[in-house]
Amino acid sequence: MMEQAPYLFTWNKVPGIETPRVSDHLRIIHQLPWIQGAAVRKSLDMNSIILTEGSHSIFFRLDEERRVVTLHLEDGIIHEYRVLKEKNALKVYVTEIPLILRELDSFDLKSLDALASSIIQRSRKEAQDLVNVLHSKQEEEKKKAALVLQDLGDLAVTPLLDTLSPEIPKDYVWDVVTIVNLYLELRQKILKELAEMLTDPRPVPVPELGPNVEEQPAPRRICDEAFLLLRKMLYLDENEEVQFFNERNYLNMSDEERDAEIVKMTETKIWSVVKGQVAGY
Amino acid sequence: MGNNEKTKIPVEDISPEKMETRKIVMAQGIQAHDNDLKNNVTSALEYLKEKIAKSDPKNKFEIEKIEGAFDGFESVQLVARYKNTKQKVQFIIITVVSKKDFKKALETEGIHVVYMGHSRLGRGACFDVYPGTCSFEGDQWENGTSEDNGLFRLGYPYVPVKIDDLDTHRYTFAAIPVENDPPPEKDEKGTFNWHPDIRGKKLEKISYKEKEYWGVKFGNPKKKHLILEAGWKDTQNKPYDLDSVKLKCKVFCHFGCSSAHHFWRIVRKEDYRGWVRPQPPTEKFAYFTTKPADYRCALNWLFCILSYPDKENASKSWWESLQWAKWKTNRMLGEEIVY
Repeated sequence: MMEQAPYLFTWNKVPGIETPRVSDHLRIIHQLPWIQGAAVRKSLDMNSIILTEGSHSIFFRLDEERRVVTLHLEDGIIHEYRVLKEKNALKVYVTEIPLILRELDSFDLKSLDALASSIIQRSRKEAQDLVNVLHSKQEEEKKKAALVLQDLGDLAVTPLLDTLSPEIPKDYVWDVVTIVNLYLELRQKILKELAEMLTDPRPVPVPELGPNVEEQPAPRRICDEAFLLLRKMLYLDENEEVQFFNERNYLNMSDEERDAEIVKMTETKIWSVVKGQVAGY
Repeated sequence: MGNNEKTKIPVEDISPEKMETRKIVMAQGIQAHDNDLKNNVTSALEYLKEKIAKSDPKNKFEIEKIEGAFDGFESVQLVARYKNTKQKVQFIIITVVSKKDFKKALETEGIHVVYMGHSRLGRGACFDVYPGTCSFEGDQWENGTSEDNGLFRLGYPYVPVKIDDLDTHRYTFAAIPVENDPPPEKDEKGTFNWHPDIRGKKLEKISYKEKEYWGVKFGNPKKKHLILEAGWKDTQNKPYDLDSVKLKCKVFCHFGCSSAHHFWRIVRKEDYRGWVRPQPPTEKFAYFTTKPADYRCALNWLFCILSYPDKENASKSWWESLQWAKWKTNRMLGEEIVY
């Protein structure tokens, strides 16, 4: 379970002292205003909590293994919550990411950062296990771990980078070669997408700014964004200031002038190399 | 001073835990006063108070009068104090609105100055003191009529200004009549006089109010601009220009539109003012914006400064926390899609 999963309620305290916690969760997070005056009761087998008000009815169901609680809403949608047994009490936690996000404020940096750390930890855990095997002395398993890691793509990059060991030259080089290959694969995928975007003239909505802003954002099309991003990826000799200067100059141009710049870029040598690299383009 | 008279605590006495006190002056330019933001926020400091309450409910952000916090500032609007017990830093923030107080802030040793307002299309920071909301017309939009208002100049010597701006604000302007030579793109040392937006472009004669001036048409859509005399040194606004101040503040942030494009090189590079951050980085920090910016840029920056999550930030270089704030503010602005 995620470390930062917010606590919701304890199974045997609803109905009872924690009913308001559940009501607030249902009212705010699931947007059920009718829940305010709802009657709350347990089923005869004590494995369901039923909330009813007039014609409305929803229920929480505890699974047989007492590890998961499901919330069954009227529209047929089911949400899953995790249960942890703590000192003989069954504690219910919110674990679905969309529900957790609804609980958090965008300025609650501490909780948002903790959520990000928790997701990173979980998503990289198994890749990290593979890297540990790769760096072990289990020769047969090492080979298999290497094959799986290469199939993981970008998921393998950080666990490999974080545990590089220069002491054994063969392993050290294998790890770095794999990292670079996986990075290049990802880069190719990105370039392919940007190449597609470069032919898309649809406008991107201009962002809404607050009051009294003197400089208005220049109108942009999808192909303009692609052009600017491609420049960042391909022209590594341009520092941040040059990139910014070029971007501003480009956005000060008319659509026709921008189109001419796009054509000019697609006629460069570097673009022909990119075209050759991007599979299927 | 201030709107809230309820407490009068000398600043030295409010930190019994021996926290480091960091002082921040938020200079609110013309059209960026609390009253100008009313439809969006009650006040800049109330915005911060509300956000801090969500991120750090244990430590209060108090808006009050703190005597002795900042001596000699005349246009103080509000004062706030926030003690971040993890950082062991007490922040004291004041909001000021006059050009004179902005200059004083830049010349105050060891403080953090945040300008929130217009870039005036590359001319600098612009101020006015007024109750309610500002007047749209007058010289407070250019050279000013007193030490309280007008431009504090920070820009390149020649800046293109769209005619819409002259029409909207109807101030006295210093354009270059075509009877004179066009302004040189570079000076005798090869340093650019022209604002980056017009470099490499050909100046043309543009008519405005029955006279002809040097100008240029650019932008999307293309608009007529006149070239105005601007600058950062020996300007029409001296001593209210960058060359005339002894920059003693520790941090200078200009969060007007595209301020990196307009002012970064002027502030930082040896060809111009040359206010260079030393190595290791301990002082002379400066931050700018790369896109059109509204009030959220300055306020989210301050929120991130106050919310720096690492422990024991007291008595350390501010560098790590400033860089973290830069990174985090950009992410937050990205989330709000502010270009």
